[in-house]
Amino acid sequence: MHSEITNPLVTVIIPVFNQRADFLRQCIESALGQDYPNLEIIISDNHSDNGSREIIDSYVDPRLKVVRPPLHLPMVQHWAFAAFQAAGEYLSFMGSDDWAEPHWLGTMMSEIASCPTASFAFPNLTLHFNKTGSTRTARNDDIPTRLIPSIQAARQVIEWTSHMFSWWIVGAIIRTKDYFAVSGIARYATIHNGDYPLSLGLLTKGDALYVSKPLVNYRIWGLEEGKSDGRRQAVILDDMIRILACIKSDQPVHTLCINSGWSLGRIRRRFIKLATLWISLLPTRNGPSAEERKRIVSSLTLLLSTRITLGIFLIPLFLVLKVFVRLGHTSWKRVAKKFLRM
Amino acid sequence: MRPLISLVIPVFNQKEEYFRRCMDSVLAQAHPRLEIIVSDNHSTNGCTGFLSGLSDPRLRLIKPPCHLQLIQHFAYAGFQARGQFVSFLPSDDWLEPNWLDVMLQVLERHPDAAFAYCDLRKHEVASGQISRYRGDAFPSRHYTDAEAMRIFGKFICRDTSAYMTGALIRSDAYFKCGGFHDAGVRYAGDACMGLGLLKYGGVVYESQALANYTQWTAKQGKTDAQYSAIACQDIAKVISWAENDVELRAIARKAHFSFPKSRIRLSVFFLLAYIKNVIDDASNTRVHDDFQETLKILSRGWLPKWVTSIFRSDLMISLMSFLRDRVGGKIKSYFL
Repeated sequence: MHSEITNPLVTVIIPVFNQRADFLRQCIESALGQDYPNLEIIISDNHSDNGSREIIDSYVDPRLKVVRPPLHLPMVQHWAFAAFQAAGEYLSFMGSDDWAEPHWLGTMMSEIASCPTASFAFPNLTLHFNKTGSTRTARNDDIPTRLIPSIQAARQVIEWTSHMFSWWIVGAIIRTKDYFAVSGIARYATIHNGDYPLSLGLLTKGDALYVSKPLVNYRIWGLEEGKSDGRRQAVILDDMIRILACIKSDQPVHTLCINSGWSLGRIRRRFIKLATLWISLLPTRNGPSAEERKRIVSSLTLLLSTRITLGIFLIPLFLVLKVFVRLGHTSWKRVAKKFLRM
Repeated sequence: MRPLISLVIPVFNQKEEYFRRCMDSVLAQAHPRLEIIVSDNHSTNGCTGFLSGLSDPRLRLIKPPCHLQLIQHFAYAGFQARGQFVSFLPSDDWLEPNWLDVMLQVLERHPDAAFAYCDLRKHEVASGQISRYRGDAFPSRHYTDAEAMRIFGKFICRDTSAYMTGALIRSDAYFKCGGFHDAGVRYAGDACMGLGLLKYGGVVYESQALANYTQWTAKQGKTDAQYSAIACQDIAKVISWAENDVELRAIARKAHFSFPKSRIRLSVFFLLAYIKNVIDDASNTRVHDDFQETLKILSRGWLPKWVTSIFRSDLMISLMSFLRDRVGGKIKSYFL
């Protein structure tokens, strides 16, 4: 009983779809090799057809639970489906191409146990570049392990995500209670960027804990391996618009964003900048098809069309009046003042 | 072989008589391949005991890892479904014995429909009145996504559409649209789902009353000022979510359905609800806050803050309570 109190059940969720065999093996073995005692591993196979299924079935372990959605699902829905099978007090998503150090869960759990206000904890990462084979840590090693208050964390999360690579969800452990309270990765029904709304939702429930040790390894794919293409661009633009619309009407998240210094306009500008970069830099050999291009264009127009407020019409009027009052002839000044008094 | 059907019943602290009625009607369905998923959201009133007393091979009892909010609970229960078709049944409503057979036939006749829904028999708890929910408003036929968009757009601007009771949904469309997802709403997950499903096909309507819907009144604590404020807010959120979805925009354009118009329609409903609530319960500041927020969302930020905050001001509240004392009854009978 005592060990259960100190070591609450943790669910590690590994969603799999057509992963390379060696990467998948490395991932599953690293999850099974954790030195944390109270562990449940859920592998959700999204109807792979490249032999991943056989690899998954070859592992037998009482901690392992293999599930399959009733049909092939889009990515975020698949992750949501897998998370709904979790029974643990904490849950963690692990990409099927990433792998963790053996003491990952032990360290994370001992850190989060001392921070009851944290709704999630995320570690530093080691990045592995598939193309060159080089490695480096993802975040500055000087940043110490610390509890980041929610407002500060939100500022950071939005900043990161604006660079497109936040990676906070890699190796992060999330309190299941908070995860479900903000409807998890399916929040805002995005297609690809579920982690962005999830992190903002979690920060409305509690703080974030950063662990400075690089405990998880994250693979960076090159463009040649077919990870970024036209469809992805279209989808990410779609998501940006959805996220903007939903933040606007979601009161707690909106307040959090404003408190952290990110007004909606600023986030939108950031997104526009990002979308421009994303589209101009990334058209590769498998560029967007005609339909996708149409979708990208319509998304971009949506993103660019800021609301026309009364203010836009009033601003020139006020500017003119201001100029009159400052520089104008005294009679102009009088007229302007009279007008203002009216 | 006949397809597997998942019937999902999320339950939380339901009165036993209602819950028993619901379960009996479900277990009486004659379809051989039925999976009845009952998700118990950590009830505290004896539902759990009643459930453990049931024994049926078709029954699958599940329990979320912790107590969930309404939408999240529906989403949790829905994602456990394994069947080819999914249906949700709130635990106070119940089905007619031939519901499943008729609905299955309807969906088999229209393979390109994402879901089918039927007319309901409405039971008012307070007065005991029974009436048809939609009557003969719509003929039973297949509606394309554009036609359905118009109908659903109107539905979501009323406070309850109740299409979900007795609706049979193709599970591929259900899972692809993300099911009961959360566009930041608190209760109106069914509106989000209904619109989301339209992306994957049309809708079939069956005008027979095949399910029963329980209509609660304020006395049972189901509809109060708070609730209708939240409902308004939710629907404003649903509209702004749908408006920013590229695929839904395309359908809306095809249907000549305009989101600004639906926002205006909602505003009328909102104002009526606001007047009613302010007259009923003027001192409740939370209602004012909620409505202020709704107004902001409805106007998409056009209204400056000082206009919306008027609704919170002491003057407005005292004016409203004065109006309630003097002409409240008249206003109420005139508007509502």
